[in-house]
Amino acid sequence: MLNLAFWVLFLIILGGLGIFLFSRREERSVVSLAAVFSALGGVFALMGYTFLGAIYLLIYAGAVVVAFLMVAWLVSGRSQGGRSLRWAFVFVFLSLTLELGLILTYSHLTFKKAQAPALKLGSFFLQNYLYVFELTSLLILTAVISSLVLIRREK
Amino acid sequence: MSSFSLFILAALLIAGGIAGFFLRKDLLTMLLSSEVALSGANLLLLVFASQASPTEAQAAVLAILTVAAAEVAVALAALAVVIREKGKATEDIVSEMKG
Repeated sequence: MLNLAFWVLFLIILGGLGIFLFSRREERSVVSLAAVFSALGGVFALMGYTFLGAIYLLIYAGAVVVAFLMVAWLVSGRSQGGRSLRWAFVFVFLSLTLELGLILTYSHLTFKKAQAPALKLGSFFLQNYLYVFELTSLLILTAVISSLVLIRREK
Repeated sequence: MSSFSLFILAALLIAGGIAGFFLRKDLLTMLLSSEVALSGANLLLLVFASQASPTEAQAAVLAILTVAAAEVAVALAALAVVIREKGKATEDIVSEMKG
């Protein structure tokens, strides 16, 4: 069953990469990459890294791809894509939600408090790499401020 | 799901990312290609470390992911500025920029 799921995700990644490389429209490339990133999150979950898979889905397939899509719309000058693109977006959104639900169900069924991935990862980070963790938060803050300064219109 | 098939998947992602970076001319797709290659590298890191130290590998991937998200925020802001100033964002426009 896990093998079958892996090969389905493999095919989704392959197809998404093909569309990404050969599509001429930026929006189509971005939407195909949403499928690639969400399938990759599924692969991480299948490898046993359920927390990382969920994070990949939420951050990459969710936040990063949406930010890219907004810039793609800015580049193309259209406020929204065509009908096929809208359906593709609905399909990607539904599959993403389904996949996140499957990952959460899987991790809930196999959950053991002592081995919870987020708990282990959090303790590991805070015990061994506290300064790196704090530096990363500083980096994110700097990135947010610098992007706001960059995008600001000068009067 | 063997390690070999995961290696193949990671190699495909890295190759796809590099190909996209060199084949496409628009900056948005070039930036996306670098994200794809980075995802392949993350997968490779997890596959290599899954036997030795999975928690450390997860921590490293999480740190890489955070830095990549911060990089995307700055790069997209810069891209939006280029689009606002020049009307489009292609490789040629950026190579013309000075100062």
